[in-house]
Amino acid sequence: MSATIATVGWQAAQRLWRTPGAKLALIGFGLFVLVALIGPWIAPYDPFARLQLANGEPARSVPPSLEHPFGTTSYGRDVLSQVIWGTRRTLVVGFVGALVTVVIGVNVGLVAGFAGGRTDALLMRITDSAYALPFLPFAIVLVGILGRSDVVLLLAIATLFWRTTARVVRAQVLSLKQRPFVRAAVVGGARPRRVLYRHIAPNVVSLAMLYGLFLVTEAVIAEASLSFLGLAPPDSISWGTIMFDAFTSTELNTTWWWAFFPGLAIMLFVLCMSLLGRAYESAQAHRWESRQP
Amino acid sequence: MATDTTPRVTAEPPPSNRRRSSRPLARFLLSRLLQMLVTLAVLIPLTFLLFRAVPGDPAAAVVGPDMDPAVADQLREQYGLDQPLPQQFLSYCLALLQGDLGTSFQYKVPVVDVLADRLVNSAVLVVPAVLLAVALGVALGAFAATSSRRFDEGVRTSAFVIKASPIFWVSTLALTLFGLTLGWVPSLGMFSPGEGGDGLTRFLSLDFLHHLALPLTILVLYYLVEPTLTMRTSMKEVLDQEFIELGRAQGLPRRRIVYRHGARNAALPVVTLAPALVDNIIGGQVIVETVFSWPGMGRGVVEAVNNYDYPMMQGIFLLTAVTVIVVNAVIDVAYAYLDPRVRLA
Repeated sequence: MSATIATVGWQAAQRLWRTPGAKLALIGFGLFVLVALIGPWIAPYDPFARLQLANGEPARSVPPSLEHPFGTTSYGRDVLSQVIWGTRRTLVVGFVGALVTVVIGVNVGLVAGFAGGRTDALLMRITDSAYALPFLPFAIVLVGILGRSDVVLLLAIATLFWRTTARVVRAQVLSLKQRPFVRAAVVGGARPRRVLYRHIAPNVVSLAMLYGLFLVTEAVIAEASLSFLGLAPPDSISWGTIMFDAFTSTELNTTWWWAFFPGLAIMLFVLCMSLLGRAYESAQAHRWESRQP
Repeated sequence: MATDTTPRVTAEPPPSNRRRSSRPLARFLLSRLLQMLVTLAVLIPLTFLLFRAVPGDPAAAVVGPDMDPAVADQLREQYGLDQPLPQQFLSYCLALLQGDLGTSFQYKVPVVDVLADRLVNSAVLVVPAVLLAVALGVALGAFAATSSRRFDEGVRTSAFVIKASPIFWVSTLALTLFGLTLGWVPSLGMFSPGEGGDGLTRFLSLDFLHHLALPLTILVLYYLVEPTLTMRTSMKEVLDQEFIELGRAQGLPRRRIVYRHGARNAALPVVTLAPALVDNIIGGQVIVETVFSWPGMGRGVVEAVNNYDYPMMQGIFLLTAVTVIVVNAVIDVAYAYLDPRVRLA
């Protein structure tokens, strides 16, 4: 099954590259990933070091300049280096969160759509309930109870965000179930599990990937929001924690760049992901349209 | 939607039809109520278990930290924490029914007393923001769908960019610019020191409106995106339909067709957006309240976490969730009442 999914994924990637408008998004996306991977080696300064000016004075609240393109904080730390370091945590939470959530959502959708009946009803009522819980208060309370850690953050994301994927995949499975190749497999004596994961699952992969892209954005925003509220694990650095430090410093009226650049990074990343999502959608639309119920 | 070519009847159905269609409405109401109960049946045990998962002594979450062991034991008994879990759950539900959410560690008063104030404070910010955003979004979406291509493109691009900008970023920058640097608006709270008071008239004072202006503007901007985009798409679909063509063929003025016939029908999907926007609305509220030190529920829950005030966390969490559940149900029923196709489906 994994081989099939890998093939579908690779074909999707090739098709995506040929879609107009996708190149820019893919290049931007690649840059973010690159910075996340090699960030610590390309950052011009140690993000935690309190820097000094040439005359030995502390480099406090230095506005953006050639030496410090994003300026420095009121403690004399280099904002660009912080943003570069922060990329890693932001992206890791985004991708791991999206992956876990998609896996849950796809499986709930597959089982609900395929099994039908009571199983379906039960799973869909649980999905409805997941829609009723507002994410941010839930995540805040979860962190408040279980402590400030990445695992808790991922738990909060995984507990609620699978709901959309589950609904969409279920709808897709309902229509796939009626198609000849699935019926043929059933008539041919394939066991239900095999029909579900061998014949149906590969056909929802491309749709699941689209929702995976959206979920990366949601997970990134979730991480950034919680970090901005001061609920990130101590000593971690992400775009959100930089903004928390900036906001709580009460120095923003003299050091606006401290909050501006990490937020800009988030905005560019989200824009990039939604462009990518759009391109992916138009590259794959032919697959879904023919399969709509 | 595109395949739905049956012209929509805007005139009132004859009375006999009406009587027949009230039964599906009752059935819809019942099934929606049932769904609400199911959601509550998930929410309440979840909350109960969550707040007993506090690391260390589970009693600490109810009794409070740094307490004299003798007093703690007594309180533990009083709250029934020495009893088995199912029994605890039963007394927990009973307490909830009586509106007993425990005592806040920070304020040393019943959580319920703090919550009432917080709920009102959040409501005076969020309710006007949502109403304004829906009204403006419907107007802007309808206008974009029917105006020049350039304006339409502009609206779409702005919506795209606003959607990508995290609200904590926008509000922090706006606070810095308009509050701290230009000094046009006060930068924290709901009232200037010494202002305010007790009655509801305090929300009509100029001082309050001055404090409200910036957080409200940001929330409206943030909430505006989805209604605008939905209205725009819906309007384009509606204007393709036959009854609009009929209106055109009858020689009705364009403005009348667009706004009286088109927009009225196109606005319905905007109503159904609400449940999908819960995260947006509540998330935006929590962030904006925190940035502007607005003493509502969102800021309250963050404060509670920072002070390990578990009863307060639980109270705000439950109240937020129950508010969302009830509002969603009311909107669904209102929608079914407005659009019979929903309840017949």
